[in-house]
Amino acid sequence: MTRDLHPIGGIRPHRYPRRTAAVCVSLLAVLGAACGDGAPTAHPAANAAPRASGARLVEASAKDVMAAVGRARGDVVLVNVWATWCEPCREEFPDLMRLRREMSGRPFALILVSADFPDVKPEVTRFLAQYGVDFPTFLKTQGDTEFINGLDPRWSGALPATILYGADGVKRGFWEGKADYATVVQRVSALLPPAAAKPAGSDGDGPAIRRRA
Amino acid sequence: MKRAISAVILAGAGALAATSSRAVPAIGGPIPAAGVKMTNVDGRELSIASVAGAKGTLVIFSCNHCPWVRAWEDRIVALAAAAKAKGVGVIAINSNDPSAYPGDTFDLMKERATAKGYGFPYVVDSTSEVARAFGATHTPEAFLFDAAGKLAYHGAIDDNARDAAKVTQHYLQDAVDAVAAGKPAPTAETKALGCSLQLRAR
Repeated sequence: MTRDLHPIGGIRPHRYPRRTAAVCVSLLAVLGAACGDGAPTAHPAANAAPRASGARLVEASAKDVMAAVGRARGDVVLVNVWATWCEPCREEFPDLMRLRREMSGRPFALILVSADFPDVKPEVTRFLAQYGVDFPTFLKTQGDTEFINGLDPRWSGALPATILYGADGVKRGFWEGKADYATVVQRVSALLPPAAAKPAGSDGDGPAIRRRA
Repeated sequence: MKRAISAVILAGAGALAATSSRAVPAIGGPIPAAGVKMTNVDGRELSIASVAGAKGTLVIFSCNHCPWVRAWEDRIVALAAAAKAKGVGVIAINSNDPSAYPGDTFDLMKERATAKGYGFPYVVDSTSEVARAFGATHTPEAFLFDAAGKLAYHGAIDDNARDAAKVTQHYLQDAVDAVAAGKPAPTAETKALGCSLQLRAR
């Protein structure tokens, strides 16, 4: 069953859904079996009010994460691997959500990957709810070595880990450990087209209207 | 337009440093910072060289709080006892900055070592220089050196942090057994998840 690529999280409700917001929904479409309940029903019009697809955990291997990155081609993609028990991960988490909010309206996608042990799913879900995550999060279910090397062979396995991809899908950055917010914004912004520019095909509503306080 | 943007991005990509650089010793390399004295939980000043065993030396970067350390802890304690019995010296090093990780104070290290019955030194890398010399990035991270002080194994304890019963590859145990018998480790380098080290400022 094909699903409309539907914007989530209130991003650009009136445009044809960009991959930015659609990453998570498209991965739901592909990994439909893993998602269990609540499949979106009919085909919402492209300019319907945004509907959060909801926070859910999607079991994933490194390949699944990379597939999601591939589907986000056209957006700058930041993949963050974290765990609820990892102190610097918890400290950095609000910054990730802040980044996502502040990049709203720009071609940027955030992909979260939890490396928590699967038997603490309820805690992961609680943590995500606490930070207002209303889109799916990957949950690593692969062995460590394959997962680590599958995401980046430079990665030692230390958490948190962040991988940055340009809009062309090419890996542009990788770092282990928490980075400060200004640094992350700078690295992401360096890959984005300037905020003032309107991508081809945009309608009259520019970023100014969608900009949030 | 997109191509132009891509070109600009590629040009700027060099500026996106981003990769953490690690001076990790290569397999066959010598023990880094071997003579650096570190305070043990019992008050003694120890260096890696001072705990080296006749058959080899096992260095584990560890800490008090990390869930991956805790998941492996009993296995580490058992493995260390077995290693010592075979003539492989063991030392656990805490390189974390307690102001970044309040759970990693010296007092809490003493408590942990006592509570879990560590049969090996658990020392403070008080300037984090030993972690830097090793290129260590997370806990737990194991470095096993052979009788000649050459790196024989680097990486994980085994292939399943969560469940000891589901381990299929006892990487470190196999490496210790091999090194104690004067042989190379069957698998020399492995990876596992862990808590990133928070080093003290230089």
